[in-house]
Amino acid sequence: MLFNSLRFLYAFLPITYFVFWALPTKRGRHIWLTVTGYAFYAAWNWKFCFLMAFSTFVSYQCGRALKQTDNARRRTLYVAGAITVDLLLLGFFKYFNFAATSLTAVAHWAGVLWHAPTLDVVLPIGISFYTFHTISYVVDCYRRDVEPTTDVWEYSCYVSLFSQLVAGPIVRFRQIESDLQHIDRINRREQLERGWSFFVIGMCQKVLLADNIDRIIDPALLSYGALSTVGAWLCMLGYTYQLYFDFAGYSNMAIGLGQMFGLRIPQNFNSPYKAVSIADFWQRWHISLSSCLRDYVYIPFGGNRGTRLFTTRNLMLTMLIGGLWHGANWTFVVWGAYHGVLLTVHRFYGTAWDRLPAAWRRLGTFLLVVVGWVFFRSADLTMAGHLLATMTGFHAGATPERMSALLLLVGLAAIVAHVGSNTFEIRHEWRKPAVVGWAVLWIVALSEIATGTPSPFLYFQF
Amino acid sequence: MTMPARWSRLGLALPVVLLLFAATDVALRLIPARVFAFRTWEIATQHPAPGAPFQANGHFATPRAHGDLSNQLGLVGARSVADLARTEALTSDQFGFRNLPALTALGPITIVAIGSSFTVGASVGDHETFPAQLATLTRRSVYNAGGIGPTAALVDSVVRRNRMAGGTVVYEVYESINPPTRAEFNQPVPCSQATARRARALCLASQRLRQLWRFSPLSALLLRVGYTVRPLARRYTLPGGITTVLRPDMLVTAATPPSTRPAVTNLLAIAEDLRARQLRLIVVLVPAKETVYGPLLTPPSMPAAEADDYLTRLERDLRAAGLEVVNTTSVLRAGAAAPGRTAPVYIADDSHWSACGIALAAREVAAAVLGDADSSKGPAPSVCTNPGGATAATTPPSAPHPR
Repeated sequence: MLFNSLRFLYAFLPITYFVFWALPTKRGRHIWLTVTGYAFYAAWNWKFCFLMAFSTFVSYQCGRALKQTDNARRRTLYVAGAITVDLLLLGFFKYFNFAATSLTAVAHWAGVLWHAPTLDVVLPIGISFYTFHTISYVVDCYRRDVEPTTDVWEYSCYVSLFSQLVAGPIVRFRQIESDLQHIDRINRREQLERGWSFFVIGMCQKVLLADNIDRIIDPALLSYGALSTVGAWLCMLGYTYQLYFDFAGYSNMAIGLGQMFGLRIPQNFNSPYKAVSIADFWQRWHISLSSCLRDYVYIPFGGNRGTRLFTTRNLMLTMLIGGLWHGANWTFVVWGAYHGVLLTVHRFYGTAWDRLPAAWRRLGTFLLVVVGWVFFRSADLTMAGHLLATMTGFHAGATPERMSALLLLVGLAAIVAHVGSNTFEIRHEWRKPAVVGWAVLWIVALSEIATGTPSPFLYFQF
Repeated sequence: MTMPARWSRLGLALPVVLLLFAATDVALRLIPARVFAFRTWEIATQHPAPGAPFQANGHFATPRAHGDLSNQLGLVGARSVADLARTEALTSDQFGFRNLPALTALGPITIVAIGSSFTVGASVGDHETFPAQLATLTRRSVYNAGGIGPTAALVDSVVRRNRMAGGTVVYEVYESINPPTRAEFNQPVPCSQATARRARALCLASQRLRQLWRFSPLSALLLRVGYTVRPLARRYTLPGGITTVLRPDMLVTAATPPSTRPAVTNLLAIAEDLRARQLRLIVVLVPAKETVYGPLLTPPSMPAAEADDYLTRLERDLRAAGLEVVNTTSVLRAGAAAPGRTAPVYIADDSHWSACGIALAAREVAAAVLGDADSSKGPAPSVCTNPGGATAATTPPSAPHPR
């Protein structure tokens, strides 16, 4: 089920909302949010609900076990066990076939005619996100950053919360623990105003900007071999904004929905295309993931405590894992490596960069990010190589159909992304003309939803 | 006029808009569909019989019908093909499929045609559909079971109702639609598995309720407005100065050619399931309009070999797998390349084949059914040599269109 579908807007959301507020107790609300989370997930494939329940059960029991013991060895054993189970599930569903096909390719390259067996499995939607939720919980319990909960409903409601279940943001338990504990004492009206404000902004970003850009660039990228240099740049610029408004739109909707139920989900995008360096970009883009990678991967590897080589290794490993987290494809590995190299270069030679005027740094960072998205968007490395070659040379060829519409949308998106305030910078206290304006945009968005198959969010595939 | 204070609250204004939107949708559904429909298809599919595409025992007519591509030109663009408006009629049998009462005039049914809207016949008369023309050519009764995802249950019900002992299933596969997987092909008939009477009644009621929501006039209207802002289709000029409407997004060749493997796997499984029922399968490959016309444009949108690539590979792979296949691409391309001699093979403002295109394809399929390759040769079918008789064919801009 998608937030931008009539089924969600007319059935799921009103039922979930009114029953939630009709329930007076904390436990009742936790149970209801758990049930609706599973119903939301089952709308895609009910069989994988068992997988999520299993992952929830393992991490919850691990938390309880950690609470009951101070024995360091046992604690390490518990946390390692829970993480292993989670990673095995993720590895099996997401990376098994990738590993098998890569092994086959290596064997063929070495002249061995051998085919590694592949499995006919479907990638459970959102598995990367809820696995991160459960892993972050057990690690935080292990580090004693959070007190393990003994309320199974509170915990399962956290893991299966529909607003952040399938595409994040990756909310850590400690970030909404307080809200979950006081879920029966929230002011409905206050939350509703702010929630709808976030939701409608996110919906407009997704349906009006991202989806319309996608309609133009997707057919053009399908025949990327025929694109001219201008066409390729326009497509990649379009994709740069499409990806941002798709994912930031989803995050804003998730934050808005969380608000409607009294849960304050943290910021996930802080105007990333205003970044003045690549390090700054990663503090603004998908904040919940980059902070998780920092806290659960980079720092445990040793962080920047040590020699340059050691720090470089840690940075590269973290970014490679970050790339691979996005998808089982070599394009994501290269994308991660590309950002790892950029971060390393910036870390050690950033002073020269920082002396440049802010506008130049902003432009330079943006262009570097756009080049990185080539790997992210490409179906394979051949496509990425071809697109990069087209973008860096002077190639005659095709431009996307409906160029004027694309230019208009890219221009509009650029203004919002580079000049406009993000949803955490605005006050969400709208005057009457603004309310009318949002209502009109809401009608346009609803019209778009009513006339077509809702387009899935790009981050669902991760 | 000032707004009451509470309306200035987003938390109230947006849910109210949501409700008003739903109310408008419900209200418009109370108005007969023919007011909003631009072709007979929308009216006939509004209240379909269970497991069928159309309402049972219906005769639906639209005095000023347009093709689906005409709609995709948007409100402004549609005016440029307004002169192609035509009277359209569609007759359905007691089970909700497009068949005339005189279906069995040629004897008991021995051929079942399944597939997409190309099988049903869009924007062509009841006598011009693919099954109707195939029946004339083979001198055998052909049941038109197209228009709904083909399933074993559908084939079984046609066989049972018509007391067929063996026979042929002609499965039309449109270029961009993959055949169902074995599981999808063998899926149970909805509501038949519920054993308890109450459960079955509930299932049927929910099915009925879903049918009510099939055609949304509000969506149809909004879609037209949407196409006006961003039209999906565009007018193109073909050799000889004749114009037709095509979708530019379908005139491109994918950099990564689609694999034929899913289609071959699925069709092999379907053939096996049909063989178990003593039914012979003939696969008919139908190209998209853009595949046929793309190489004929000036300059060509793509070379003919590139445009045909997928269907050629699919035909080769299906034959290699031992299936009977008729690829209609070359015969339709030949028909399209000779506009002076024959009527156009696709309808000017529609994505579907015309009566002439159907006649050319049906001749190839009839030859395969009869096992007589020579029967596909000979002079062009009369419906092609007499364009005035064909329904809404591609029309020279200067020529008066038959009304």
